[in-house]
Amino acid sequence: MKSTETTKIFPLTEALFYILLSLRKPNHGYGIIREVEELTKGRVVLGPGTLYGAIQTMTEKGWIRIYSEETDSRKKKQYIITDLGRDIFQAEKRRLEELVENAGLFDLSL
Amino acid sequence: MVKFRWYFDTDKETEWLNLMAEKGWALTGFCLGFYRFERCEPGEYIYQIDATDKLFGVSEDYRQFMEEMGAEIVCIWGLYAFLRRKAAEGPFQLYTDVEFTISHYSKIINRFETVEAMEAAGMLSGIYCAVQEINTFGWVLALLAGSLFLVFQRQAARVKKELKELKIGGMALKGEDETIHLACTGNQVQSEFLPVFLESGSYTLCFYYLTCEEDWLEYCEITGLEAGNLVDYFWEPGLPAVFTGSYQIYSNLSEENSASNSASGGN
Repeated sequence: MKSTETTKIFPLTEALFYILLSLRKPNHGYGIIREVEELTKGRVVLGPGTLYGAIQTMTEKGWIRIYSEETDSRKKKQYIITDLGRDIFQAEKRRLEELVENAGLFDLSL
Repeated sequence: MVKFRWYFDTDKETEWLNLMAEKGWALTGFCLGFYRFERCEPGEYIYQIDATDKLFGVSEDYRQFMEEMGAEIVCIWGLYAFLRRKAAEGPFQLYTDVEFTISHYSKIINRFETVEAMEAAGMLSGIYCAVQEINTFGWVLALLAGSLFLVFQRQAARVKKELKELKIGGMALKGEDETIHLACTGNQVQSEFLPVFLESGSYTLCFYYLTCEEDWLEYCEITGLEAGNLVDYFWEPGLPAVFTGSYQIYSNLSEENSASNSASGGN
């Protein structure tokens, strides 16, 4: 990945981070909100506007794609992460690991 | 029941719709300032107003999505969609993060600015007619257009202020191509990005301030760069991308303090 691209992506906002995470397996809108709420113990609750915007943006950028469109009457569109999305998530994971590791130094100096 | 109100502020409008819902009146239709209400259980619905991407309609995607979210599209008028959801399903808030709240408000500002431009044009043509024909109608037109212009200006200013405060939170990261975001808190300047190596070339710097005091911006001097504006800045190859080059930021403290409070950095 070009360094110029890195600068406008990271750090990922919490919304994008958690949506990408919940799309490691196929998931749909409401399912994403539920999972994120559970994972963060209620701290991050995605609003419909935010989720809709995030899904549109990440689909455009190629980080996620449509997994399936139900042809039955329930019509729940499912999404899934792409390889690009995976790369980005892993890079962010590494960034966070580095942060947490270095944060450990804070206690050592006491 | 039909009520007439003229709202420019969608946040206040939303507040009012929810107030009505609490009293037992649910919005069922809207057109040009006329709101149609029908009886409902007090507090049965929560209303939200969203800015749409196209006039008088929303994409099929959006429709399906909102249906899945349990939100009903009550009606769409102009560039706004009135949404509601049963209160029993829990709190209903469209935007829960900074990034998308910003794009929502930015959309609204763009609209205000478009209308402002039209009003300004209307006002100017009114004045022109009036002057040409010494015609009262022209003056009336100009006055009308002018006052609407001011109303929109004020609304746009209010939204811009909200926007600024959101950005001042320092969490917005969405930028145009090659925008580097730096956050300033008082006298500290930090980068929101981990050091990354950039290729040499020109980039755009954008400063966001973490204080909300408007005055602070005036007293801020950034030598070599303009405070609060986008400027072009050249990067040295292979150096950390926080920033290179020198800069200094002062707060409006007295002379003796300013030296110790100023932040400088770069090579």
